[in-house]
Amino acid sequence: MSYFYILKGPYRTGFGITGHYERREKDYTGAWGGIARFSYLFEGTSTHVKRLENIIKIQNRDMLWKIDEWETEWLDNKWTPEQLLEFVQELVAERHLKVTQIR
Amino acid sequence: MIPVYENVVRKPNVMKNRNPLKQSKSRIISLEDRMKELQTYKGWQRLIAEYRKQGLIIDPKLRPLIKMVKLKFLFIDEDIQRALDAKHCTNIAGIGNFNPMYLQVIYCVKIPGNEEYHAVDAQHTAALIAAMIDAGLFVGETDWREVEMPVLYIETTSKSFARKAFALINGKGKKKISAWYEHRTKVMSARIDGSQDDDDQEALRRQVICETYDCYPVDKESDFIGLPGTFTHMQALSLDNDILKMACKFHNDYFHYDEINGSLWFMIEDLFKAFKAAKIKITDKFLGELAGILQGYFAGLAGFHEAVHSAHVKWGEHTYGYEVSWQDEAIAAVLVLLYQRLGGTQRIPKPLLDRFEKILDFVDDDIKALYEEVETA
Repeated sequence: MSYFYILKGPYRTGFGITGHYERREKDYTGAWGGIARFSYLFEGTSTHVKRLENIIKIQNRDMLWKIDEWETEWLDNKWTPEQLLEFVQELVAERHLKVTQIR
Repeated sequence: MIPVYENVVRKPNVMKNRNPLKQSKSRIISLEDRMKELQTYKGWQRLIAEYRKQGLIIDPKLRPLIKMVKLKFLFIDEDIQRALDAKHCTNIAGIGNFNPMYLQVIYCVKIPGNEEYHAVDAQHTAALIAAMIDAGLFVGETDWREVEMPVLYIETTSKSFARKAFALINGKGKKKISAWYEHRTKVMSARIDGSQDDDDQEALRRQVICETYDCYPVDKESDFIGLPGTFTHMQALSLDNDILKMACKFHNDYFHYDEINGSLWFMIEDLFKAFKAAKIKITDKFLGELAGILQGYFAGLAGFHEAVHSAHVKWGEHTYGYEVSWQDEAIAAVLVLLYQRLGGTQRIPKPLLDRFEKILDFVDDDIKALYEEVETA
């Protein structure tokens, strides 16, 4: 199984995919120096989870926070985790992605 | 069981209006506008700030000059330029091929104080023009030595500079024309200028097939990449028109909400050819079932393409003992093998099934689990 997560970072809302979400949360904790916990979590097969992330990163890259030409996995300031959640839920429903929200 | 394709609500395709090849009228913008566009680019702004910070200014006299120069004053340094490619010259001058209006300016280095111009680019142009004049092909011109051609030159005694200039003009200094730009030139020639040239008309026909099904070729550097219906795989435009049409229609019928993944073209081409050879009709029902598999298991062609690549690597290592080169034919093969494994009843041409027979054993476990669950049930 793969996981798509949404997290509230110190500066912005972020997202990503992982095969081990608990381990990934620890990675963020280690990097931030503060407890990181994903706000929302989706579970599904790797192809559907990757596609979900890809739709955000490629088709909707206007949403991404960019440092010059570098497109990060953080969203522009205006996005909250709840807004991204709503966006993802709509995508999942519209495109029949086989992912389930587990948190 | 084959997953049933689930309809995705169709939204107006934004590329319909933004399609860079749709215009049928010439559009001219001023150099001033282009300059302003460049000046808004952050990288450019940083560069200019750095110039100012370092107090760098440039002598305008160092810019190249242009002059009409008699051909007798042109020289070629054999240690700088490549050897004359006589075949290349002959091709350029070919009957039906040659158009004097396409002749390019000759790039030269001028020896200060002497009327000597050493060509660093376009030696073939200079040589073939001289030879064509010598052959009496240009009206009213007999002595090639006295005929003038436009020369772009800089004055220097440095051979090293000439050498570098030659490398720059012929290599990394030139922005390579992409396959999309070549296609664009042909389509625009037909659409805007009304060109009846066969190549231009054929490019336009293919462009129209794509546009009919909301499919849009875009450049690899385009901002449109990723938008629904866009593709960068320009080889698609070399496909037979019937195959191109079938591929574009398949995309538009089932995956209109996605950009086009390169696997589409290989998949449809291989299916089309194999079914045609076996005299089996490709039905809409069959295509709908394939779309169901692609959507239900792989969330579209991009995921499927990636899964086939991964399976192909493992299959190759298992079958031959080492990693074999990628074979595009695996795309259609995996899809029809999966189709059969899921209980699909459409008759499949055998050559499609034979070549990668065991490859399904090597798809990722989470995909395998999906059809194994079905088989167990």
